[in-house]
Amino acid sequence: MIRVAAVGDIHLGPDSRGLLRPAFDTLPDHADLLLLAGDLTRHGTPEEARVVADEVAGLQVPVVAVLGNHDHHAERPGDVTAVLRDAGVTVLEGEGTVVEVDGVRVGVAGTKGFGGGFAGRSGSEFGEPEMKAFVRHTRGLADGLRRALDELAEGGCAVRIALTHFSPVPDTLVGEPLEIYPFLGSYLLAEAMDDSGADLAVHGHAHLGTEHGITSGGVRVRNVAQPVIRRAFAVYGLPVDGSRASAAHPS
Amino acid sequence: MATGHDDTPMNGPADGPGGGPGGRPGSGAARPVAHTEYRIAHLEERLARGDLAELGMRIEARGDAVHITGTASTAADREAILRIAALELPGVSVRADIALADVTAPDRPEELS
Ligand SMILES: [Fe+2]
Ligand SMILES: [Fe+2]
Repeated sequence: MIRVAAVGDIHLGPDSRGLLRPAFDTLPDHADLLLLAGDLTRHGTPEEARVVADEVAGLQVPVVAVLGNHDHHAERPGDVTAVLRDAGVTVLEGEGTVVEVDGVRVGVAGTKGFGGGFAGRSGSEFGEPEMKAFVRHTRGLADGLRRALDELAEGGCAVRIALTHFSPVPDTLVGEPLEIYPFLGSYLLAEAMDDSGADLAVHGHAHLGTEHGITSGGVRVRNVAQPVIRRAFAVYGLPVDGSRASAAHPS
Repeated sequence: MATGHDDTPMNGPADGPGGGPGGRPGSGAARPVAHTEYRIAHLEERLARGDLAELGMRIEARGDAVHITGTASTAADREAILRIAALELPGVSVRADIALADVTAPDRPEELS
């Protein structure tokens, strides 16, 4: 059993310094790794990123993160990433990382993801340049996620987790106004997960949403936005047999 | 749980406008009710662009009141949200049900089969 702790949307700033550290210090009792599902800061400034870095620096479990839209607001995602990496956080965008847990290779593939909507109710790469750029951004990030998941499979990971900020499914958005679903996620992310296979998908972004969902292909999805899970983090126990991960690869 | 600003009288909230930048003194009372939806949109925009970068509140007109629901990180953030709402919606009754984030560790994991 691999124990995965996860939280997103902690939205830290200088005023919330130290808020989560007491709970994070108990992580080794609960989990083998910690996933951060984006929106770690409020405005995406290096100063706020430093608060996040201090909150997780020196934890006794590996920390893997993706950025969220808030972490892009100051248009310095590279600086935010660098501050987090200096604190030992693995920050993913269109790439994967492998964590060894008791000899088991646990792969995490990550992307921020983006909006666009869900199958049958989504935007298309059509019309004005702004609209095309919007959908193209999502498609590019979803392609990166697919490639990263494929590489983890080739790398012999027994367990694979897809980590995003935006949602791959509408299930976990229940509670949000229907009208804004296209700004909360995209089916392209779920399609990438189902194509490549994954044992668990973890996302944030939808503060008013619901924790539990599933993709068409059967990948369990969890919305770990902090206002949704109402804890410092949630923990999911994943079996190691890899049966689900291999289900999408009949070959 | 209501956290204040309930049943605000039509002449403005108890703690009054003017406590922050960008307030629009006197912009409220004379406006027809139909404009409340634009004012809610302006409030959402202001919460997003300001220091709080708050995009996670649900703000809706219900009858002749405005309801604000969601989760704030700290009590100070919750107060700030209510203060800005009072500035943007003078003369409107604001009912708030803003929970505080729980930052404790979970009791148990969810075991996936
Ligand atoms: Fe968020
Ligand atoms: Fe977000």
